[in-house]
Amino acid sequence: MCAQPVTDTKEAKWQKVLYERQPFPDNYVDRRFLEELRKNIYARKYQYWAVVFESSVVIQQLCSVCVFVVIWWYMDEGLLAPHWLFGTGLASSLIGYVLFDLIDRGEGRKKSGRTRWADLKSALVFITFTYGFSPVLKTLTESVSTDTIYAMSVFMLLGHLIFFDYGANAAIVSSTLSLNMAIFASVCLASRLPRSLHAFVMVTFAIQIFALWPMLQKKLKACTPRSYVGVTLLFAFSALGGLLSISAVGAILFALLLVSISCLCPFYLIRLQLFKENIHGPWDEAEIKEDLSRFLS
Amino acid sequence: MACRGGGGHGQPPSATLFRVSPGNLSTRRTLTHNICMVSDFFYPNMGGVESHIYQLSQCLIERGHKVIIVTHAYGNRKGIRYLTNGLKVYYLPLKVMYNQSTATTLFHSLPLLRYIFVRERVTIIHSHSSFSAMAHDALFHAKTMGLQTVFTDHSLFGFADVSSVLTNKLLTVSLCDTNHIICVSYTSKENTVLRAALNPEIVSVIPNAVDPTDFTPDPFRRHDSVITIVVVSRLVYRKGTDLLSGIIPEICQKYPDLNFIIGGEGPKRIILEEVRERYQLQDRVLLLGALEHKDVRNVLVQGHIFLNTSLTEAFCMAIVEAASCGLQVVSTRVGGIPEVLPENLIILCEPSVKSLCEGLEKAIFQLKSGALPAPENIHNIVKTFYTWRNVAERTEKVYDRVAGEAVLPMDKRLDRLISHCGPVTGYIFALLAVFDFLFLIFLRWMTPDSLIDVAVDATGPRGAWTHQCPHRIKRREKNKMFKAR
Amino acid sequence: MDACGGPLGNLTAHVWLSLQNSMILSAAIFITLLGLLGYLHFVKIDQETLLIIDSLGIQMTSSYASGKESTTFIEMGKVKDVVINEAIYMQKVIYYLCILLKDPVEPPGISEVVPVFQSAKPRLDCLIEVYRSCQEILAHQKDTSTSP
Repeated sequence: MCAQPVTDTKEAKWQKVLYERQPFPDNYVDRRFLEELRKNIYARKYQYWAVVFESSVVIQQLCSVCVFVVIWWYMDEGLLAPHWLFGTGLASSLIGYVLFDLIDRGEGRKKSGRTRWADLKSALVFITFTYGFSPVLKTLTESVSTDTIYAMSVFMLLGHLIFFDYGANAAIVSSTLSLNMAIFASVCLASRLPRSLHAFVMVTFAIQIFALWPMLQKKLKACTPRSYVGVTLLFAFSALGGLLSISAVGAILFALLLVSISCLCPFYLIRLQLFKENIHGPWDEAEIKEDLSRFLS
Repeated sequence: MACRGGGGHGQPPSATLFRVSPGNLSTRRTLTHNICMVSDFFYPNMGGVESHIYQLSQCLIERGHKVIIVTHAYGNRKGIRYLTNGLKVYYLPLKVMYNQSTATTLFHSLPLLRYIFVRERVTIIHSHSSFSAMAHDALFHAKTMGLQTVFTDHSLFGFADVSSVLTNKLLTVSLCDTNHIICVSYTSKENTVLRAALNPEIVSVIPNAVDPTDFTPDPFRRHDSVITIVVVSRLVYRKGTDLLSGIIPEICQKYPDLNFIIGGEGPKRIILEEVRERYQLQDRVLLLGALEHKDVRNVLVQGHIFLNTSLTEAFCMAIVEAASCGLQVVSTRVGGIPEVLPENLIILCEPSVKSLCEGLEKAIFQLKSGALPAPENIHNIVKTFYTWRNVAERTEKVYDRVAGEAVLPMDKRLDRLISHCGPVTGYIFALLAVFDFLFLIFLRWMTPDSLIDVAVDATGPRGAWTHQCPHRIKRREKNKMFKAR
Repeated sequence: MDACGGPLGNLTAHVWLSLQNSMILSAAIFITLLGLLGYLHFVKIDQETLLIIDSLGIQMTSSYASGKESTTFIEMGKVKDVVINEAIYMQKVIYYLCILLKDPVEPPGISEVVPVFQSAKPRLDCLIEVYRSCQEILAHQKDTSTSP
């Protein structure tokens, strides 16, 4: 304590040990205090364009939702025949299916061990069931008011965007929940369409755009990043174009949103990194870096 | 300060039950304090904080201070109890929320704590452990009542995740007007200063201690034909039980004449059992389960080497106990451990299976070549390092310093809260401090301090336990009738 | 019809209402009175008395506000000691006087603790006075029971 006279501090050198009685008061602060403090040792350096590239996943998902809503609007207005949408969807699905295997030359398929017969079977089962149940889908929400349906769809699509697996390792991410919410939204919206065939085509389209398309995207991004950027741009412009045909204001707002997410947010992230102050020192809980499961397997 | 205890509040009561004899004041020290230790963790719960509070209180009583302890009720143990040497313990009926820590609303504990502080004429509140909600409550109320506060931090915290960010903020608030903080090691001091944004001048380092008479070596209890490695810790992730599960098979395969004795219980026990099963080590790895504190020494003396695999540790009592029993200590280099023992008594390793195995092999080699000092010699060195008397002396100096400080008046306290704890938290807690103050005024109006009976001291200068002189009983034959209206 | 039926109907309704009102009112008064009586008779303790006679025992009497008295008697053979103890009571920590009863099975043990002055809760200085006198009498009683 400070009450204790400090006499021979000059000769004795302070040591960071507890077992020796040192000629210093208990609240003595040495020059070596906090010398083992380290800052930001695990902080990552971000490259602007790399972050922009990574943000394309979010862009893609926003565009998917936008395209879906635009298509629904066209169907609802009767401007788009269900046969035509079904045909286009089927054709693009087939192209996507072929591409999916072509990109990595069938390696992913070999790894998962899934046969084409199994794919065909699940596709057939799905289409048959959706077709069979489409009259039910059509009348399912008849007793619910249209406003409720719209509100619910908006919430579900927002939920889909929030819980979608963008590649972050967080507790909130749940791809199952995300997909379920999107499908629920599509069922809600489909039930407001004029006929049961419309409903069937709408749900099928939802599956294509919310379940199959992200899978293809992921593979594209991993194997051919360049073409992925191209696809993203194309997709974004087509979504914007579709929205423009409905509402100019909506299209401008959407374009602003996309630009801010892909250009401003990465810039902001990199700027904020400068303010990062992550403290490390001997008090940190040690991490076990080895894989200890080998002793048990 | 201490004379407030009996001075102007009527003559000190002298009932036979309390064996008080006024006029016989102890004058061992001129300045004595009325200390109230507050923590959620006390006996019958077992652990480092609990024994720290108990031992420190005992030594302070020995030095002539008045000490009381306030904790929450443990099951059937509630109300007021006296321990050895008249150490008075209040077990308050507060709800336990999680891990023996009470729930906190910041206000509900004020009436009882205030009543106790007033009736015991407490001058210094000494809270223990940052995990204890009651300790933080007591600091907050004590400042509202204008008492001096001291806080002892027993644990280390990181800065990386959300939960630690929040708890560190709370600690900042709690310690922002605490007079003095005590840490158990220099690493712990650095950690606390950073966590609570404190001035390092008001943080003292006073290590824990071990009663060396409880941990004496007994070389006849161990068999020198085989080498025995002892581990005594709770079997949880933070104590590095996962590392242990990797070390056991590695070392056992290399040295056929080597056994493990593992004392302690915890959720990670299952992986040790699995390892034992898988490598057929049932007769070489002994799992003892939960140990009582008095049995620890009997387990320790059976071994040659003590292994500590903790991943974080403010001050490791276990390695001091083991060294005091004459064992060679092998430990991870984490937290405050490198400060605890000199290099010739401990082998420090990185927290990995490989490094710890190398450390153990070095210890085994030294043991086999006879390079290790005799257990008796190690004990004689270690017993001088840490004693509770020394801890109490140094803590007493902290009390002396704190007693001379001025307590911040309410407006200064609010200023300090706002300026020190950030704009949002600062204002929130300043508001809570105002509410606490209003609540205190209400309580003072309901039961004024003058209506609260002053408690009969059990310890301290007027303590009934300190001077046990028999009370003479006058003999008179009379029937009496009392009326209380 | 309306002209003459109106006031008449009004009047009957009024009478009926006041009748009903008075019934409710009297019921309320009655219940309050009963409650008050019950409170004075069973709850409100006006005076607590402790009578200790060294050759007989201890008698505790509580007189209620209504004049009712309830008495408990403990014979001296059962009494082990009289002590002052501390307890946490509501949001307070108080001292109270209590009588320790001998355990008939094993004499050094205590079978029961009987608190005294439960409703008055006198303060410590008062308790100590009572306590001292009790101790004197108990000590005398012990002397006389052992010496002859």
